[in-house]
Parts: sequence; C-alpha cells; structure tokens
Amino acid sequence: MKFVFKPSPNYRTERSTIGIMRDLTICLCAVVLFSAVYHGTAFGFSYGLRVVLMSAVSVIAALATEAVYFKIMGSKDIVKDLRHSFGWVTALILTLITRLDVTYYALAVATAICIVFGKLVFGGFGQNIFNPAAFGEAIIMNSFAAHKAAQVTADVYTGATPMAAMDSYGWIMSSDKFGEFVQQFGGLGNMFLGQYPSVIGGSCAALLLLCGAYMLWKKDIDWHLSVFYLISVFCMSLIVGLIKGAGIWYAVFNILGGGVLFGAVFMMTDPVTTPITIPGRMIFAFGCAALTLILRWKSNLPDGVLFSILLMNMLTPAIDKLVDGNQIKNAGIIRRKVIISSAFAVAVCMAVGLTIEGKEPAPAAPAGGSAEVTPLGALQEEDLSSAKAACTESSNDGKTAVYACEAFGFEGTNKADVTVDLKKNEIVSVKVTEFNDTEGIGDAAVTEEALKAYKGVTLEGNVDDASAATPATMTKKALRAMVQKALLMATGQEAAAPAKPPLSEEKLKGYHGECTAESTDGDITVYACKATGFSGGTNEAKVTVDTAKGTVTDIEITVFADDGDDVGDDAADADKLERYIGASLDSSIDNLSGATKTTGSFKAMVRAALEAAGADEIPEGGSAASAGTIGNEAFSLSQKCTESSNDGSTAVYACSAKGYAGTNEAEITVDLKEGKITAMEITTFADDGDNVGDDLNSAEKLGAYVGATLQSAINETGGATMTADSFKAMAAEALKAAAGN
Amino acid sequence: MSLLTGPMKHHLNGHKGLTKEKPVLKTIDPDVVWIPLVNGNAPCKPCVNVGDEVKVGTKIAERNDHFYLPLFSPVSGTVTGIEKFMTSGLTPADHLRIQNDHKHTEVRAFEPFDYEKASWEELLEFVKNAGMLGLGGAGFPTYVKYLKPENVSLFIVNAVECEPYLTADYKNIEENMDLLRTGTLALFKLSKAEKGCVAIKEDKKHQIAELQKAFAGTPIEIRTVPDMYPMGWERTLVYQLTKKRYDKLPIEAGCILNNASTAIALGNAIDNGHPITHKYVTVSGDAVKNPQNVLVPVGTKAHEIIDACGGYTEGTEEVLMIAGGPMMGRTIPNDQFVIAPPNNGLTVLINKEPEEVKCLRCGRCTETCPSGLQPIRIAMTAAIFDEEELMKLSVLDCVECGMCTYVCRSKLNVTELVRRGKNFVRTRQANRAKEAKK
Repeated sequence: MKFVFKPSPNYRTERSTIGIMRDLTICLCAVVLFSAVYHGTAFGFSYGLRVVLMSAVSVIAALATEAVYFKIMGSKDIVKDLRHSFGWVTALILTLITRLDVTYYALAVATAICIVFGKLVFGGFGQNIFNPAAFGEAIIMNSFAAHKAAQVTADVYTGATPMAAMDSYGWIMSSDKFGEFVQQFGGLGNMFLGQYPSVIGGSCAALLLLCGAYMLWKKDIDWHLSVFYLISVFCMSLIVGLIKGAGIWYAVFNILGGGVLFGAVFMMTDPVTTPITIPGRMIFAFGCAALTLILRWKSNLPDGVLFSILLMNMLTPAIDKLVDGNQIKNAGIIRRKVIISSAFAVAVCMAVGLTIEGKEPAPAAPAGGSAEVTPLGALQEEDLSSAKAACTESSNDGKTAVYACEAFGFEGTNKADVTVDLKKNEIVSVKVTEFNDTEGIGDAAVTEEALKAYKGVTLEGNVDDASAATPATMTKKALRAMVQKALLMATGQEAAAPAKPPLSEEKLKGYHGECTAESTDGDITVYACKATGFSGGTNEAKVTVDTAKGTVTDIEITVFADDGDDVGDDAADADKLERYIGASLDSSIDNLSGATKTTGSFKAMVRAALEAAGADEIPEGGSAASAGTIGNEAFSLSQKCTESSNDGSTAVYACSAKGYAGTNEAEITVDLKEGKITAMEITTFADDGDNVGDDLNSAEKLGAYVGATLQSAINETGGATMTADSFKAMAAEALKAAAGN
Repeated sequence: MSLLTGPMKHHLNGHKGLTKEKPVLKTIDPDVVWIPLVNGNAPCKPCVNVGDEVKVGTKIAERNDHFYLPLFSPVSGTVTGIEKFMTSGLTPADHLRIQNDHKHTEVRAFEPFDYEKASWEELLEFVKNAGMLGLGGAGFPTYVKYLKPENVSLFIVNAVECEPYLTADYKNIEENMDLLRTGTLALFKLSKAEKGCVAIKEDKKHQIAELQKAFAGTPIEIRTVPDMYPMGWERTLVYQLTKKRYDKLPIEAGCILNNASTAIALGNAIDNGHPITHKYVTVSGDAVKNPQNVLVPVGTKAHEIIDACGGYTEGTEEVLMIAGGPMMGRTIPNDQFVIAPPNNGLTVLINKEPEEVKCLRCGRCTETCPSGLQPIRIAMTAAIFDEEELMKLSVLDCVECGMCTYVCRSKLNVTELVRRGKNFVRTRQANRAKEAKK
C-alpha cells in the first residue's frame, strides 16, 4: 500500500464538466428530437429526417475537424482530446440555430470553420473568445446566404418568420393589430409550443424552458446571466411597447420570437465566452439584451440575438477586468460599476426604442415562393409562373367553360379540369384528374373538401387559404396557377395555350393538303381534300366549310390510308373528328396524343379547305403584288441550275444558291410549255438548325413556288429573307434555264 | 451574500454518518507517545530531561516567546528521548518521547477553579496557565484572544464542525455537555461580551435540543446555522450570525470565537483541574475498515489509531492519509506522525485520480469562495507570476479552505494553484523586506 501526497483539499464534488456537457448534450438531443418530430409531421417525413441528418453531418464534421487538428498537433490520445474538446456540443448548437434549408455542404463547412477558427486556434475548449456555434452561424449567414436547398425553403419557409414579419411592420404595431398579426404563427400560445417554422431548434419556448430548468436543477448552468437577460429584454421591450401603444404582448413576443430563449438557455450559459463573476454576468446580460433589441429594431439582420452575443463575447475579457478583485472588499465599487454600465446599456436601448415607428409592410415579394404572407394577394397579381400552368378549353357552352389544365407541383405535373362560370368569371369547380405530387403531403390539398375552397374564386380575389404555411404549398401553388390560367383564358386576357399556334400558322411538316371545291351551296362549300398520312399513303376527306364564317361545319374521312395503325385509327373516329368542327384558321387544334402524324394529315386537309374557302374572298395577287417578280429580282447568290432531265414537256433542274448559312440545293421541275414550276423539292438544306429558315423548308411553303412563273411574285416570309432569297433565286434560275430551252 | 456575489458557501456531503452514531473508542493506550514540541510554528522548550519520570498532568514543555503555553504529559512513564520527525503540519519538529508505563498515575497540574467567584484577571491567568489552546485546528493559545476584550458584542462558541467526515466535536459535546457549559460560561465571562451563543449546524437536531436544555437559564443562546461549508470558518460564521465583515480579526466585528472542544477543555480544567492530555479524534474515510471516533492521548502515532480501527480497507493500493478533514487537512505521505492537540481527525481515503479537463470558466469557484475571490483568475495569474495583478486579485485573502477545488467541475487543483500564487507573493514581499533592511 502506498501513501500518496496531494495538496489539500482532497474532496471533490461529483459534478463535473464532463457531466455538464453530458446533460447539455441530452438537452440538445431533446431539442433535435422535438424539431425532427415537428418538421416530420408538419412538412413530411423527409424533413424530420433532414433535421436528424443535418445534426449528424454537423457532428461528424466537427469531430473529423478536431481529429485532424489534434493529429496535426501531435496529440498522443486523440480520443481523449476529442472527449475533452466537446466539439459535438458546438455542432449541435450550430445545427439548432441554422435554418432547415441550409445545405448539408454549407453546414459542414461552417462547422469545420467555426471549430478551427472559433475554438481550436485560440487554444481549444475553454480558451475561445467567441461562442463557436454563434461564430459558425455568422459564417453561414454571411457566406452561405444564397446556399439554400430551394425545395426546403419553398416547403418549410413559406411564411415569414416571426422576426421577419415583425420587421416588415417596423417592429411596432398597435395591440389590436397584433392579435391578427400573431395569428399567422397560430397565436402566442402556438409560438410558446413552437408549432411554426423558425430555425431548426429555436421555436419551442416550452421545451427550451424545460431544458433550462433541467440544467439548473442539475446545477450545470448559472442562472444569473440568462435570467437577467430575459428580464431585461422583457422589461425594455415592455416599456417601449407601452410608450408606443403596444401592449404587454409586445414584450412577450420579443421573448418568444426569434432566438432569445435559445440564446438564453444554450448560448449565454456557455461560461467559456461569458464573464466569470456574477457582476460581470449582469453587465453582460444587460448589454446583450440592449444589443438584441437595438439590432432587432434597427438592423437588417433577421434577429439580434446571435450578433449581440458575439459582440458581448468580445467584451467579456474587458468586463472580467472591470469587476475584478475581492468581491467583498470591493463590493461598493463593483456595485457602482454594474449599475453605471447596465444603466448605460438600458438608456441607449430605450433611446433607440423610442425612435422606432410602425409601418405597413411592403407587399410580399414572393421570391422563390418564400414570402407569401397570408392572406394571399389577388390571384391576377400572383406570380405563379414557376408552376408553368397551361390550359386548353375542352368545352364551352357559352355559360360555362371547362379547361383542361396542367401545372407543375412539387414532384410532377398535376392535371385538373377547371370549370369557369363565364358570366361571373369565377370558378365553379376544380377537379384534379391527375396527381403526381408527394403522397401523404400534397394529396391533402386535392381532396374534394380542400378543392371546395376554389369555388367562387375570381381573379380579383384568391383562394381563402389562410394556411399558406401548412404543407403541400407547391401543390397548392400548382392548383392556383391552373385556376389563374383558366380564369385568364375565360376572361379573354390570355389566349389558349400560347404554345400552340393557330391553324393557319401551324407548321405541319411534311403534310401538304390539297383541296378542290366539290360543291357549293350558298356559303357552304364542300371540299374534297387529300393529304399524305402517316404510312405514306394519302388520306382523303370531305371538308364542309362555311365560307362566310370561315369555319369547318363538317368533316368526313373518305379514304383513310393510315388504317391498320391502331393509334392513327382513333383519329378518324367520328367523335375525334368533332374537334375539327367549328375550327377556323385562327383556332388551334390539339394534336391527338400518339397520333400526331395522322392528325397532322387531317389538319393539313382542314387548313387547305379553309384556305381554299378564304382564298375565294381574297383578291388574287393582293398584297403579294407589291413584291417584285422573281424574274426581275436580281439575286447574286451564286445561283445556278443544271438540267438533270428533260422530256420535252417538263424539265428537272438541279439548282443551288447560297442561303443564310450555306448553299441550298433544290430539284425544280418546270413545265416547259407554260414556263411554270410544277414541283420544287429542297435536296440540301444548308440553313437547317436556323429556326427561322427552317420554316421555309416545308412542303407547304414550297407550295408557293408551284405554279410560279418568272412573272410571279413570291411573298417573302418575314425574318427568313436569306433563305427565301436563296429559294427564289433557284426558282428564278430554273425558270430562266427553262425559258432558254 | 447579495445579488452581486455568490452564496460564498456550499453544502457538502459530510459523510458524518460513518462515525456519528458509533461509540467512542477509548481503549487506545500506546506504549510510547511522542509529544510534538511545537505550537504553531513556534518551538516549545522541554522542561523535563531524558530519564525523568513523568505523570499524567506533569508539565513537560512550554512555549515562551511572546506567547506563553505550557504542555502537559498525557501519560505516566519515563522520558526516553527527543526525536525529530514530521508533524501533522508537514514540518519537521522535535518530539519528546515518553515511554508509557500504563499506570495512569496522575498529578494535579493545577487545582480546580471557581470561575464565578474569581476576578476577570484571575480567570485570564488560569486560562493561560492551564495551557488552553484552540482545539479547532489553529492551536492558538486561547488567553491571547481575551487580552483586550473591548466592545465585544457577541461571544461565539463554534460547534459548527463544517469539515466533512469529522464528528469529533459532536461526540465530545455529546459526552461532555456539563464541561461545555462550564467552559462556555467561563469564556463568556472572560470575553465581557453583551451576548453569547453556541453556533451549531441546524441539521444536528438532537444535539441542539440537548444544548438548549444544558444552557437553559444562562445568557448563552443556541444559534443554528445552515449545513454549509465553510460555516465554521470565523469570517463566514461571524457574517452568518452578525451580517458583519471584518478585515483581520473578528474582534473588529465585535466578536470573539472559540471552538466547542476548547470550551470543553477549559471546563475540564476548571471543574477537574485536568489539562489537555487527550483528544477526540475522528477516524473516517473509505480506506479505514471501522470508521469511528477515538479518544487518544496526545502524541499517539497515527498508525496505532488506524490499527485500533481495524486497519486499512483490504485491497487498497493507494491511500490519502489526511490529518484533519479532507477539505483543509493536509495529506501526510506516511502514518508515522502523531496526534497533536489541535488535531481532531484522521481521514483516510482511497486515492482516485479525477478526470481533469480544461477550465470552462463556469465561475463556481468565484461564487462559492468564502473570501470573495476569483480563484481561477488568481490561478491563471499565478501561472504567469504577475505579482501586481495577484495583489489586485487579493490573493493574500485566501484561507485555503479548499472550496474552489471542491466545486471545480473541471477537476483542477484550483486551491493549490492559488496557494502557489500566495506563496509567490509572500516570498517576493519577504525578499523585498530583507533588501530594505540591508
């Protein structure tokens, strides 16, 4: 047995720093758990999981950083050093004071930086000047402000946080207004329970107080700083609130909202960065409270707590020095110093507080869908473009119209039939036909009950959706976008599906319809039309056109070459043909999904019929006359033609001419007797890829050259002059060659 | 305590149950006793020669510098020599070796005394010649405190016994209530105080009742104080009872204090003409097999007492042998030292190495420091030997009560670091004084 010598005392409390950190870790984990459950239930499991994953990422980053640092510093026992450095506490606190939409990457980098530059370079645990977690959050706020997971922002932070919302009112409002204001967070009671989105761990006042009480009971933390901080924040905001005509609620809001409670429980109780004596802690508390309120009132920061702590951290050594010495013998001096410095802090804060003025919030500018403040603004004002809504009128009986709409929601495109009362210009019903958003979240927005909310919605009003902050935001947004689009169409403010051009301008590549009038009965003319179809055959139809109105009254497919192809078949069904009835050159006709080519063929016929009907009324050579004849136009496009065949009556010329991007080549057939072009086919199209020129390389446009003589004028198509000139040059050259024959 | 200072005291687990209810072992009668010839830091001159026969109560040495203090033999037998070895104060000192003949023949050191009839001067002279000294730990000659008792408002008998593990005073009071009464009243007379009281911790309910019974009809009050450490320290106790602070001596606050066992010793001298020969000593701690109180002759070696208490706990590899309680008692690296009059405990603990981490500046040491200091700031300043800063931090006000080390969450030896700062400043001051003399 050995007698050991040790200086007195040889008796120690069982409480230890390691125990403090264990209790602190328990409390932090409880807050993480609460946050995970809250976000998981309110926004979906993936968000609950995200809370846990973010904590894990931060803790791992912290431990890895410290391990590397200790390794570099030549540590003999890295595990022990890690245990005594308590990096995970910093990581957890940092996670809890960040927002859920901070990316994992940003969080990990900020953790590493704050561990190294906030703690380790000062000498490690116990030596750091700044609260490392606050340091890390400052890095996130300043360096990763734009580094957000957009989807999380859009889903979780739909409404303004209490701090931002209050800020938009200039940090003061009358007590009657407040009741309404605080409703967006479910009232003060709800704020106490933390059922609103805030930073990850900052919202539940009840839980934070519980954690504080637990750590006080375990004698882990000193109450002076936190309690004086809370009291002074409360009292100073109460005084300002009372003077400015707000009520007691103002002080309560200042305590419950933002990071005040979290800071008081988890950050100001970090003794490393706060003064060591009780008088010092009182000065710190008053200073911190004053700075918190001043920063809230006057700065652009979302909240003042974080930076007030960092600023006061900086003063900690000075405060320690200020109240040094024997606390009994210097009691008088120390008391005086505490009173003077606290009074100074309070006076400055009060002076600033008296200058605050209430204001009306600026209209919410929904940037990335992040700031829709309830109630929603007028639907017509709302920017819902991100949902990419599109509607087509599927029926219209004059009184009501049904629009088949689609819009992008959270995960996919949702479709709905929106019925609009055309007289009142309001929504009759919304029926979701296809739902592709997240099961379990988004589908709450598309239940019959939920969809009733859209009944009666007008462009001037909006959906009575007071719960913009609740889940399924994106799905709701898609619904609103569809409703908006349908209403805009119904009121004629927007044409149907802008993506679809009217029939007259539609590109029907490869389908050239030809019609000949078969019979005419007054305004009603029946055209026999034909056009190539899908399988290369020619479809034929009888199209009846009301020439007066310029609309199709009937269509009958007489020869259906695309038969045998199941899909195309469909297009020829009587009920599918109804789509063409009532069509004019201005209407746009949907391609029938899966039978595009057949539809194209039909459309070509319909258009040809309509054009033929319209052509009767347009005097020939009208506007076209103004252009010079191709024979007279001087082209210097190195155009040339070589005769490739000649049977005496017709000759085929292989021509070439410079276009916009290169040399185009064409095979032009000329009727040698009449000196006119009977066919023109582009064999090499060098202007391809140029969207403008493309247009001209179509059977339809080339049709313009059929029948052309040197005396014809060919209308230039605006915007594709070079290509058109190239074509015209070839045509002219071929005709000249034919004439020379 | 005010809003700006911490509680300046702290409840400790006293572990007093280990010994409080057990009977006092009185059978220890060592073959040899060694009387330390020292009082405080002052040597005492033996007044017997080697080979002399002594009886219980024979005056064997005295301190005779600016204070006077006689020492009396606790046993009967033969003086066999003077040996130098380490005292319980960790300083080497001469010890008078007396071979015990186990006959317990007594000689009256002085006659019993009627303190009520005697004059104040006669009483003071009696206290001086009876060799009364502070038995609470200081060993300071008692009469010196009463030389000029002016404007004393409160006389306090300190029965607080705040040091953990120790129950010697408790047992002593329990067994010698009458002597306590006599001694207290005599000291009260000597103090010329307006009021007198016995201060005792509020948790000792039974003894409080006993005391109230014993002191019924006397001007002595029984005052209870909270179960805190260091409640028995003069400053803390005076502040607790009077709300007054003082700079150097309690008399500045109008108080005179004496330990309860000193009062009992005086009672024994007055009633029985018996000097201080035996001590109640608490033997406790987790490294002792049978913790209990013992009544032993002054000069008994520690190992004999431990042996009488069943020895060390089996399987113990490293022990801390502490003379006194674990807070202020010194660890002695052997068990060969002897019990001197001021000793009242042997605390033997199994050595445990705490897991030390860096200071987290929690401020517990500052809050609980009974002197109102900032121990950890002193400790950090001591590390860089900044004398000026140490003086600003009032390092010399530290009484080494051990509280800062006790409360330290990071398990640092704060008290020791402060002690070093204190020693550093003292050495510097002493060196300067020497230079000034030259």
